[in-house]
Amino acid sequence: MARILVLWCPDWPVVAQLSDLPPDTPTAVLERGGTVLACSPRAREEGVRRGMRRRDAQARCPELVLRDHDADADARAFEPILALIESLSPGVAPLRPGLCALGVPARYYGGEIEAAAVITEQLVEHGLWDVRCGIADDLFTAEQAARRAPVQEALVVPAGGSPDFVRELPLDVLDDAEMVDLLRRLGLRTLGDFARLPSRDVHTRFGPLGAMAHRLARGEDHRLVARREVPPDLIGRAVFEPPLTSSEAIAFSLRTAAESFVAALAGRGEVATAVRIEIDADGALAHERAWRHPRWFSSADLIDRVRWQLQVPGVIAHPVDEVRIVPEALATLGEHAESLFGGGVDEQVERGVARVQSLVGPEAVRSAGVQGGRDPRERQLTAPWGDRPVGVRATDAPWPGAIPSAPAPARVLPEPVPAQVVGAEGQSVVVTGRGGLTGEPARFRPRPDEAWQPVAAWAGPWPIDDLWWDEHAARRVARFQVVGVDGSAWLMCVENGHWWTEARYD
Amino acid sequence: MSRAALIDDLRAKVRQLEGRPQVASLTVHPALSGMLDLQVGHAYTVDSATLAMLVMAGPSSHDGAWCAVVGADDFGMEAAQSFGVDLERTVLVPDPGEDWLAVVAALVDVVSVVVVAGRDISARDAQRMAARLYERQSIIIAWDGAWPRARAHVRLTDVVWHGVERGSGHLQSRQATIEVQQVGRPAARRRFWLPDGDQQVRAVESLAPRLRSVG
Repeated sequence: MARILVLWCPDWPVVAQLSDLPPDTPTAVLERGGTVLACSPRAREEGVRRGMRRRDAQARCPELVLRDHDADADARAFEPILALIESLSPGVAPLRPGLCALGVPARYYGGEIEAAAVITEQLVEHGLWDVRCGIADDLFTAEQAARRAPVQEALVVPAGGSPDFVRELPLDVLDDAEMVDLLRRLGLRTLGDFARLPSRDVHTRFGPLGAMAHRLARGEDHRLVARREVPPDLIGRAVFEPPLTSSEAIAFSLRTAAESFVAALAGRGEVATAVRIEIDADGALAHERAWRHPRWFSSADLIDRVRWQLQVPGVIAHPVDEVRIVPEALATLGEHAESLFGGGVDEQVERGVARVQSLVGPEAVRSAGVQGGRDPRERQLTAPWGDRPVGVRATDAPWPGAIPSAPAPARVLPEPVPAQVVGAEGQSVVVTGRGGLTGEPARFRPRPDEAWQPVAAWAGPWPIDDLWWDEHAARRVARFQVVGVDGSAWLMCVENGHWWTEARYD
Repeated sequence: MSRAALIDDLRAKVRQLEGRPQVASLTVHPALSGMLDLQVGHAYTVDSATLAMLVMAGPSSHDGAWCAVVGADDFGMEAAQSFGVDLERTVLVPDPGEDWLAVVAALVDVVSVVVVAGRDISARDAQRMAARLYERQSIIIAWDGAWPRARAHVRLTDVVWHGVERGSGHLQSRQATIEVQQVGRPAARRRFWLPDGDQQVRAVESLAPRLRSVG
């Protein structure tokens, strides 16, 4: 049976982000909520703990150096470690930054402990001080062993010894706070207690996740270590000798490279759904940009994207000598198989839209959608065609202060336009500090270029105190629906005594 | 796929190979059926965003047609969705720039319904576009713009909003008359809830008592 070695670098976020500081500095990395995610051993000695609030941590240790957590930086910093291990033994599976697994190359290095020692030594030479190894029959046990190993040493669980090893572990290692809490209240303390429950009952009560945890507790983790594939060189390259200055010439010369890029992926049964295009001019990177495709990139699509990028002012100020197409997201060809009678309708649409994009620019063609928000403009969702919109707000979340959304306005102005609303004597009508009106609206003009007309009916105000906690961004807005005598209905708002038109119920 | 659907599908493919037009017309929104038919190869003018959405909604939700909206930076997506427009299959070009005609022509090639907002077209360009529309089996909806030789003009008149008083309530429903003027036909008018209190579009039932002959 294949044995598994798990390699653990504790407090990886700290190691990854604060490596530029002297090793004895007390340091901590904060999560987004402002609580401590990881801290250095020195900070731990001072009493800083994971989950502690920033203020408490600083109170314990005033000279603490704090940084915000950056998951990408963690992963980036772990990459050279993986490459280093790969150079010693192929088939490393990264579990998360700071934690990876591999098959034990025991035979080559003359024993499990020896193999772990060789790998540890290499990493320590690389400058990583705190490395711990665990070796066991299965992934879960090996990880737990690594977490209990002393610094720069390996803890080996003998073959068949997994159930005995995990029996004594506390339930917390299961990493499912809700279930652990429930099990505790059932009177269970260790994994051994949990393992003694009949597996059928566990499955009935806790579902598949519970059954999985139960298997772990019995030391029967059958998960296979998914090996990291050494990424083959899939990057499409076009080198121009001599360097080119015209985008047409570049696009033309790029055809072979784009076609072989698509063909190389197809040969592996894959297509690219996101790519990054890097353009080098005068031997230096002149422009790079990531592109997504609603389906997948054909060679013509790739050339289009390069051409759009070259249209950005200043990109071809210098002669271009290399263009690289780097795949960022791949999908299997099977998911994107074309229908029997050639390309489907949607593919034609993509091609047509790409043509429009080359006419008006890639950002000018947009997709449509709806998201959550208080006012109609916040609820519009649009992104450049092919890009996935980011930061989408849920529509079903409660939006306190939202204006009644049914019916929705058919025209939502991208920017509010100044409007005017006056009372019967022509005096301007504004909202008082208490949310009342200084007078009854009698006449209004929704835009500077429209005629004045009498108000037939109106509703409101719906006051909104937006961002009241932030002194600079805070807004006090009151919204109104105003219907004119000609039957036109408008959504207007008052802010600081000025009226604005936001949308029209056209 | 049922047998009948399969036969229809194969017939459509044969027609396609013969180069004949495949569909004569697109589906209209159920509320508008009988008043308007959307024959492909033609342009239709509308004078409000709601009407543009209502005309788009038929092909979009029933025929699975792709739609494009050119030249409108204030297209209310939530409203469009409520009328039945499938936003997943909608392409927006809010600012097509000077060369908007080329953008419309490129879109006509691939989508079935192109809404052109706030642009006037010359008679010559309209003629050329008509040929393209026929060839590509698409329609154009000209919203707030002149389109010579449009097949039908759809207007919204006598709008009355319900739900707001002087200072209370909120907009809930609206009644309006939709008028369809088609070349060579008398104008068709019908009163609609656009939408009613349940956000549905439906015709207003006439409250006038029916006359019947009494001896």
